[in-house]
Amino acid sequence: MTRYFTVILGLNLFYCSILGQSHIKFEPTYESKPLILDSTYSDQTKITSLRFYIGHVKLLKDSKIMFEQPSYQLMYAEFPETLEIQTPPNISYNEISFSLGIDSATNHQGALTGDLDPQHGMYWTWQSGYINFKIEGESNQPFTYHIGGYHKPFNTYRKVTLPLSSNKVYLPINAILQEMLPIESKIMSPSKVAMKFADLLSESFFTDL
Amino acid sequence: MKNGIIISLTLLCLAASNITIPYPNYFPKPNYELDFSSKTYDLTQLGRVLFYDPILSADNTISCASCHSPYNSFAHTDHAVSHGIHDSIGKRNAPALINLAWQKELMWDGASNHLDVQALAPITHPGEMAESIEHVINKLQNNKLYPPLFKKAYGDMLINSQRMLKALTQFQLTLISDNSKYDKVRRSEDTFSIQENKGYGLFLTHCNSCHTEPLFTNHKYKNNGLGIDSQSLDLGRFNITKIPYDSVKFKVPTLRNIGYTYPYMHDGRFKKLSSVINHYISDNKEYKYISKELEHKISLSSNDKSDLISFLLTLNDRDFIFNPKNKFPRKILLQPKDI
Repeated sequence: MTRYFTVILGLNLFYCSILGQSHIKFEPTYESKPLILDSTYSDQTKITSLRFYIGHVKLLKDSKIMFEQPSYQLMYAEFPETLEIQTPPNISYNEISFSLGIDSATNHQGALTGDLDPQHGMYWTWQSGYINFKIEGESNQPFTYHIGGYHKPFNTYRKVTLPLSSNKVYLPINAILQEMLPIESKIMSPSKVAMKFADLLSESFFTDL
Repeated sequence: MKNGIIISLTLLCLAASNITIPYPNYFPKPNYELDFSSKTYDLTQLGRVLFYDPILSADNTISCASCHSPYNSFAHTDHAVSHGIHDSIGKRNAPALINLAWQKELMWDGASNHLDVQALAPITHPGEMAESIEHVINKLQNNKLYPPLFKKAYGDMLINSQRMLKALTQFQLTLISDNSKYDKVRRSEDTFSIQENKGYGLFLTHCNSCHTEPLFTNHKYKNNGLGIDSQSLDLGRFNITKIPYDSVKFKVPTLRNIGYTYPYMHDGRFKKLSSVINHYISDNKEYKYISKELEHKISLSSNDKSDLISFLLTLNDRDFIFNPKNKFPRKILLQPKDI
């Protein structure tokens, strides 16, 4: 009996892994490989910290919603499990939509908890508002990007929609840094350049398709 | 029968008092839901203890009340700008914490969009309490006093930042000042003297467009022509919006309890009410971005000034200042904690 279950469990795991539908993984990359924190790349760049909020994940099949997770998830590059959005197995989809950052309404709700607890270092204390995306490191010189802002004219909340066949959404960090570093190495408040960074981020996510 | 009627009348009165709105009927609708019933008593007490406990600061020396004293309508008399940890000096005058339920945004520049998250600023500011949220929560969890207080307030001993912040909010929402002489006159329980009445007339003509009654603020950001402080270079609202039009604008403060909250202005530069009035009637203002209400000259004779001040002093609410419910919670905080 036990052996029978083990076989079924094994088969289940097998199917889940080939169909890849038990989670969607957000994968920051550097030079086309999964990003490794604190490692110095050939261009002398080192990323020491990377975290960001992903929310409102929807999986769609021909524009029909197959899965929806309305909450926000804080993703830490150093904890791979936080980069995964758990989904039920065996749903089929060909498109994903999600938001990068925290929307304006949530930013007005006062003290929140869980992934939105201000103690995660993703909340500005001197001025209300979540930091949607945070990356720190060095590339010949130190850089610090804290991208946030939830109201006009510097609302950095972005929505992204992409075709999806696998279970991976990639974010090419080296391409983003290449474009931003010559412009500004320090962004720590809502501003025009934070808006540019948010635009660039939302355009940078890609999938295999 | 008679007893029955008395009992049912008493019950009716009790029921009515339970749904009593905790502010006068001439106040607008607040921005927060107010519940000061017996259900929220323990939450209010928790917030009160946190407000007065220096545990919120890095070296356990500074509490919220260090700069927001109940005897000064929760402002800080005699301190032009706030003092913080290790004798550091801030750049703004601690504002009175009253009638916060009607404020949409907090702080002189509106940096905080909700009362819950406002406390994060002073707790973490290196020149104020210099503490991290994570460490404050850790200290509260490991202090014998707090787990039972959180249990009373929330039903279980879980201590997290949301619960701490919401308790502080609840206590601060109870700080409603609505029993000044002005209020008693509004409720026909008292009358203004002739001088106060003249002052009220002058107030309505010259001040009410920004310090709008009954809260004595329109909660907007205005440039009152003070000019930028050469030391702090504080650009006020501009720091938040980055719009040049908002340069050196600060939130219009309430005039309630004005007799208890000196010194005045965002940087506490004036010690006396007469200096404030002299500023408004002088030509010596910075006009570049001045708010439209102050573009024209205000003329007041010295008698007018005295009349205006006598009216402004009717906004003092002595009952609020000496309300024991707002004060340092001796019974709880002076307990020997580690015995």
